[in-house]
Amino acid sequence: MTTPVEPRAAPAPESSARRHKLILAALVACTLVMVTLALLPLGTGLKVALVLTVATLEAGLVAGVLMHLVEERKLIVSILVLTGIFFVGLLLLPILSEVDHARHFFK
Amino acid sequence: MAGTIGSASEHHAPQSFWRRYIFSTDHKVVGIQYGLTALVFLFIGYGLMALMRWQLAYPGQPIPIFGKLLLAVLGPDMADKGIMSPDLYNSFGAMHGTIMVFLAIVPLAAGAFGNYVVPLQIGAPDMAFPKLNMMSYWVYFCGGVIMLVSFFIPGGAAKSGWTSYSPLATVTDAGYLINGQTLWLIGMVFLITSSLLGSINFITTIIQLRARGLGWMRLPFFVWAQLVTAFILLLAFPPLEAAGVLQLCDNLFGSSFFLPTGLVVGGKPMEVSGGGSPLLWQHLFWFLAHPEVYVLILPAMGIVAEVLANNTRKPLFGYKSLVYSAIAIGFISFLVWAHHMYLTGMGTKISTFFQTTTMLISIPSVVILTTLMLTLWGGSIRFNTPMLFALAFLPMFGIGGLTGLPLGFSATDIHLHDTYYVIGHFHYVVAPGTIFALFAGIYYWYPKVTGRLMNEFWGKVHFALSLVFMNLVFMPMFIQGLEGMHRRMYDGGATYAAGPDVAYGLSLALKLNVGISHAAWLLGLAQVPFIINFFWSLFRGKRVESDNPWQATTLEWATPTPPPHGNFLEEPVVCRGPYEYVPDATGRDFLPQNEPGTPPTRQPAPALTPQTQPA
Amino acid sequence: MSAHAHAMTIPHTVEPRPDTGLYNARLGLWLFLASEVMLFGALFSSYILLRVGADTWPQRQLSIPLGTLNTFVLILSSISVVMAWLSLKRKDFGRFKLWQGATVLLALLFITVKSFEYHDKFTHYYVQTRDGREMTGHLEGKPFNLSLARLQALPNPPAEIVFHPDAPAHGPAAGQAVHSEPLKLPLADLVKLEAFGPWRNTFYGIYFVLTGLHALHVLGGILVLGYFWGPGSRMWFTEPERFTNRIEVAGLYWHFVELVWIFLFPTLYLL
Repeated sequence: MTTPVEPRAAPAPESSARRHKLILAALVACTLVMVTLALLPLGTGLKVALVLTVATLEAGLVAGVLMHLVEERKLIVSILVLTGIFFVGLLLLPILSEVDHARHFFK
Repeated sequence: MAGTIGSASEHHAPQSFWRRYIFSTDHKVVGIQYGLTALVFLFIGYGLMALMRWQLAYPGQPIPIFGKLLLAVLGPDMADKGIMSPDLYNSFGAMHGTIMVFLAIVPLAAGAFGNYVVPLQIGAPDMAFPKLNMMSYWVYFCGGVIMLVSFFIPGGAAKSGWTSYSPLATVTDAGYLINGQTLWLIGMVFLITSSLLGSINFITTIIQLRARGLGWMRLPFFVWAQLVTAFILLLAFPPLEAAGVLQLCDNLFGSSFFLPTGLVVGGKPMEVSGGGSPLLWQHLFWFLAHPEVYVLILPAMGIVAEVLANNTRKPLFGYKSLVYSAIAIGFISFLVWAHHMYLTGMGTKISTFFQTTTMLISIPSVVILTTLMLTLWGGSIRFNTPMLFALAFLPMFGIGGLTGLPLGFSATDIHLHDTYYVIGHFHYVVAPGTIFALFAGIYYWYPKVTGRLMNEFWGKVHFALSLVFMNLVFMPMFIQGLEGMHRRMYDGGATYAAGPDVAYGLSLALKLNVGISHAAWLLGLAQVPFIINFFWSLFRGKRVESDNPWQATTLEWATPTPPPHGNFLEEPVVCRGPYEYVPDATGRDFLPQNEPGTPPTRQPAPALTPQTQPA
Repeated sequence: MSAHAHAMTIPHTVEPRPDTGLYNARLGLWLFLASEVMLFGALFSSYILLRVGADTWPQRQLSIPLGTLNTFVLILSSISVVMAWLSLKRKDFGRFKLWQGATVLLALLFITVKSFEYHDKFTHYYVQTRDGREMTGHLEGKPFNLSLARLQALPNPPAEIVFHPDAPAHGPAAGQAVHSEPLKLPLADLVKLEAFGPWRNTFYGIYFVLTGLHALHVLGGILVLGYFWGPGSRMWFTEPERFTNRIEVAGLYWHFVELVWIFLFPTLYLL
């Protein structure tokens, strides 16, 4: 068994206010970057990849900082990693079986 | 351990009848509620099949006694002159599957046994979220009621298989906006919600509320099985809920998630936008439904392990292998689902991927079966009723598992898909497999719940008759399937036998229908001693002489009988593993997990820091 | 033997369990969020499959300014919900009420904007006439979710409808904000008249299901956060630590709702 952990103490007010202002700015910035990228005349594949990368980054900020995942217990993180594996499988495998279809999926 | 004064403490004032028995938050009451409700649904699910089997044995003949009842209740559309119509056959077929899987087996295996036994076996006073537990049961109950109500609405119950494939599920009974399929989908949303809430409770309870000294490798295998089951339910059910919402949209709002372009129904093009994919439904459905079958088997394996260890008077063989195999099964089960879709035109690469994962998952399954069998070696076996059922589980599950192999290989599945071979395979695993394990569990834990033993003689009668008739029902189905007899045929496949080109074998397969049906009805009769025994023993069964009548080692036997609110008279502290069946000087051959003072037989676990007392 | 041999309390509702470092509700909520990841994952998987399988996929169907506004609303509410929890950790109940109240108001604003967007879709129509003309636009009086069948089923069906076509996407009149002249279309000429609901095409189908399910989660959040702002906040005065944990856990849920939107917004509005 691991050694016991202290419950999370409240961070000092000043540093947390600054931290949250930074996060707010970062999230707003990510959103604006996404919108800008979407309005640029890029190829579809590239656009999708870039926009979703920024979205993932923004989501990472929310999950990691606002939901405290970066300092969360290993147990929770491992449950989420497991979920992530199945999530990727759910996203990928159906589309892979469409690609490898003996005849066209939809017609 | 007592916690802050007033925090989370239960009301000490006497509770009303409603609070104590109907809307109870005590896991034992909730477990019993799940158990009784599930057994009623098991009976209903059996009844549907028993009626279908008349149609298969004597196609077109009026059903004796029940034919008139069906005609009176459901009308001539469904049962004209007491003969089962094709629509009614399909309804009964779809609902038999749905009720058995979602309303009977899983609530019994996980909801009833899990709820009652797990907190006791980990030394906890209750589940982590008692109110959520109560809600889980009542949401399940509502879902079940919705499913039953669907039989009585215009058009009747859902009739597109328990698998509800689109577009059939959308075009059937499209004349009624709220039809059986709609209620099936709404009912499923309730059942899935109940399952999700329950699984959150189970996982949190097992992780957070284990007694002191109960490390992971000291958990009874039953608890491990329930933990993996809960994880499967947690992560696999949501895609079916999503799919259900999408199909509801197709059925109610005219969307086309699963309806392809250019669909023509009854000679008329469907007035929908098209652009959807029936295969999308199949992917989302089987993403749940495959892990679901491991939900059906894992608690059963857990029960068998407990009963075997107790009645061989020796530890389980290969405890660690069992645990790692259960975890492996849980993980791999999410990656095999498209072996149900080999005939949808998938290419060879992706079929091979799913075939490979399917073959991989058979390995931990065989490890579990083999370790359970090896547990018997050198054991001092007591042949009581729970043990008989647990013993029979082993070869029955073996047959079920082995017959799954030709289905898992894409090449052989081409011949066997959608035939009675499939029905034989999965019924072997669930019926003489899981249900036998559940019977073992009922006979085994009955004295803890009620303080009385069930009658041994009638238990053995129940066992022997059930074993014989289960095999007589399901073994011939393999022959039927190999001959090419299709499933879900209202006339039992008679149309296939009509043509001159059909092999002699198929008409032989059809003849087997009569024997199977009679065996199925006798199987039902064989349950009568069980039902009578179950209720009679509540009042007249032999009272137990101790809290631990089976002389078992796990913590649930360390409580008073029946356990009171809060379960344990004093907080249990565990000092050894779960199956220390070790003879001592006095002639006693077992060491309960929490019995202090006796030197442990293994390395002691590192001491836990005592929990900090609140200020 | 008394019915209660000792006080029946569930351990670790407030104080964390030493070896996991968690109190029960936090583990429970993360488990719930894991299941929600799979729920929305299934819908995103459906989106991918439907889009890849489609010949043409409608793009730019939704108002990017409104979507961006809603994104900012949720981002702000995410910050305010954390501030509410931090206020409680600093034992400042007054501040908590402010931040929690702000969160609920922002959430209500999100729903309002979404309702406006939905209303816009259900008053936007597609018509097809017997001579094969296909047009999109608005109907005079902006009726909500009419259809040809419903019009024909009226006791006194109108002889004609007044249709304001949208500006064409291409050609000399493209991009103009002003609609062209209203058309009078006889009812008998119409083959199809439908609003832009989930039946319109698979894009609209998945749009409504994804945003609808998300909106239901927002509504659930409003109920829970609102309850804890209002009657539920009484617990602060009897069991402050337990109440703080509840706010933390509710905040986690709210962040997840925002997380889903962070992917919904680009997927449906931008790409």
